Amino acid sequence: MVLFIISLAMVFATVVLAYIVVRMQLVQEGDWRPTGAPGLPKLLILSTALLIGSSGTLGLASRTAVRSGSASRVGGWMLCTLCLVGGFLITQGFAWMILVQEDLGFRSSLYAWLFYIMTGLHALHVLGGLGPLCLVTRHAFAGRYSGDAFSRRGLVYCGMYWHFIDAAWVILYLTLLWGMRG
Amino acid sequence: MTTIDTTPPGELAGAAPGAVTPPVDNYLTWSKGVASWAFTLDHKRIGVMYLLGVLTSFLVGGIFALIIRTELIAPGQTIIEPETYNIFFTLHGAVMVFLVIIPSIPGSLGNFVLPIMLGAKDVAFPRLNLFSFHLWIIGAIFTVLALLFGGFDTGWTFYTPYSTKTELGGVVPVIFGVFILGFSSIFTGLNFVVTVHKMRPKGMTWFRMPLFLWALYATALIQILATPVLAITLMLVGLERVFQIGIFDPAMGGDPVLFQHFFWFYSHPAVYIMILPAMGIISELITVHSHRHIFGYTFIAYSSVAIAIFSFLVWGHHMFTSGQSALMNTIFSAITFSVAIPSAIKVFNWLATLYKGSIALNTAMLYALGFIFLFTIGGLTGIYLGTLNVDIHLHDTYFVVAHFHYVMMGSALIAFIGGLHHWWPKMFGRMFDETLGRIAFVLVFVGFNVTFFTQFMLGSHGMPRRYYDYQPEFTIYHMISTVGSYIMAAGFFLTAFYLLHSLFFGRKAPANPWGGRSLEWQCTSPPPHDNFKTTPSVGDCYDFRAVHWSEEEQGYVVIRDDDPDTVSSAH
Repeated sequence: MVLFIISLAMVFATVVLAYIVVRMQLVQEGDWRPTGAPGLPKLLILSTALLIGSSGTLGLASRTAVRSGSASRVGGWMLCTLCLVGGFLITQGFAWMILVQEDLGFRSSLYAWLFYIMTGLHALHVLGGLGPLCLVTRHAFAGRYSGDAFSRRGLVYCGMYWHFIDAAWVILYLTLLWGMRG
Repeated sequence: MTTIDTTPPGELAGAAPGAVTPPVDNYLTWSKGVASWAFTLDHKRIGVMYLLGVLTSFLVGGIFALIIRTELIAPGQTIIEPETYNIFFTLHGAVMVFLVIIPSIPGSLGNFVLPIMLGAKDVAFPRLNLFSFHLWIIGAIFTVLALLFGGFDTGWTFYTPYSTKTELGGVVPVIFGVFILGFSSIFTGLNFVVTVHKMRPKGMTWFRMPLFLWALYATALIQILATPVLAITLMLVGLERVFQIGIFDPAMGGDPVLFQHFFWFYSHPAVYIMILPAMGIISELITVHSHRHIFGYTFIAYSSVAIAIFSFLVWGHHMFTSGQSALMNTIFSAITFSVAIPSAIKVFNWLATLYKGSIALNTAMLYALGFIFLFTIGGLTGIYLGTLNVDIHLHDTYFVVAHFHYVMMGSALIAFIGGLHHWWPKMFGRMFDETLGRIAFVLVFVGFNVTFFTQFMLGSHGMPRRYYDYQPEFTIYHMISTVGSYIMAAGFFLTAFYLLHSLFFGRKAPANPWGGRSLEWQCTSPPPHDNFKTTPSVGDCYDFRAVHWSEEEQGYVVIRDDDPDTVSSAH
């Protein structure tokens, strides 16, 4: 699982690197951010908070599983996680819509293109994680994670993936914020 | 974690006509029918299917190569149009790299041998293994589909901006195909890493593993770390082609050289994905066929890992002429030279293993010796190309073509063929004709050198690579090179003939025909469905004092003095 995550990290690292290289080159040439192009929507702060929150509730879910093993409480935390993730995806969608309304077509400039590529790539990985997350929630309500450490491995792997997705977003977001300057 | 297919034999309908059920159960006859193969979870069957796929692709790629060589036999047009020529050399490269060499050893031989070498019943994730084979098939289909969409002529490197601008419609399908093949490669890698970590039998410490496993392990690490970069890069190129906007487009302020960086960040490690398992095979072949304990085990093991690490630090040497800063070039050049150290460590250890061994010049061993010779030439010419000022002269000439054919074909593929001969009796339970094997080796070896050594001379005289036409003064070299490729083709067709022949008429193979000591030689040939009835115990897998010839078996047997009960109880 760790290797799998490192493998995914390489993907995100590539995109971040591409972003940095392209931005630096364009800033040098002076046409990075087209005049009048909108900055990052404020909504992204909310979505970031939601995603970090989901990481937190997932952490609480696995802590509850270790401490009490109560199926309904673990399941409850998992449900919270799912809601927060859903909220994250919806806010991301709204953020895209706001930008489209402000006339930032994804083909208008590399500045726009890279924003959509990076958030889109991340959203795809969130979507991909939703399936396992739902499965883990169902298993949690069925009380599958109240046994020993081995029985909890599904929850643990899901958590690892989710914390990674969370960290990846934070890094992407910071990169985007940095990209806004200049 | 291991899931074993529990379908009992004979339950699946559609038995192959004329198949006779042998008295001993083995994986080939365990269950019958196309579906029992296509959806098998048995690593051995998956390995055999990979082998079939890889050899078919090799035939296709080889035919492209022969057409290219025939076209180049004389200046001007010989048999095909220039546009067709561009498509053909691109296809030759793409097929050979992505469909043949990269999956050849890990996919086929690795899948077949790795779990048996570990005394395990299967890899850690058999379903994932099957899935990655299916992905491989899908990727291959997309690559073929690209032809129907008009082909592609970007070269196997898909350099931007040409790949986003060319008129031919096959670029997107092939990019998608390679993208999928990448996933197949990543999953195989993950599977191998987990298997090696979790499924080693009792007594097999890291430093008692057969060296082939070390090589596969190092390869798997590179596959996991480098392939995602290729995947995302190709995706960006594909999107850029579809939407005509992207970060590699200089018109928008993007940077095509960035593509080269990303591409080579994968593709240079990919070269080691190709060569490392080959080196692993050679380590096995040399020691088994010279019946001598491997010399410098830890050095060979560590050098595999060292090569894997270095592989990530040298990609810039593909880009000396792309306008990198002089400082970057110097650094990349210096690190490139240091790759020579672990490579040389391996070569010297193999030579030291051979020294005073009782060498049996079996076909497999001939290929191993051929490997050492060709790899040395390939490696040393690599140092030429890694030298900055020489590279300026030789860049994009036939010298480069010859160099990487010596490494990719003369080393990786020759090792694959050698390994195929080595494990052939184990895979199919039949012995092939040794005399024909030796003749075929000579044809391949001579043909290879005639083809590609000439190209070193062509390149240093200034013949650029990929060109359709050339100055008349190069004619003689091109002609010799083409004749060499025919000789080589004859050798490969002869190999195909006697291997197929052996399937039907070959002598039945003993469990251990070569005197191997590692675990795969301790189960029957072909191995039973679940490899070992009980978990075998392991000793030093290169201690050949325990290997004795048995007249009764017509093969070798392993008799260990330290452990009278050679088979311990199950886990």
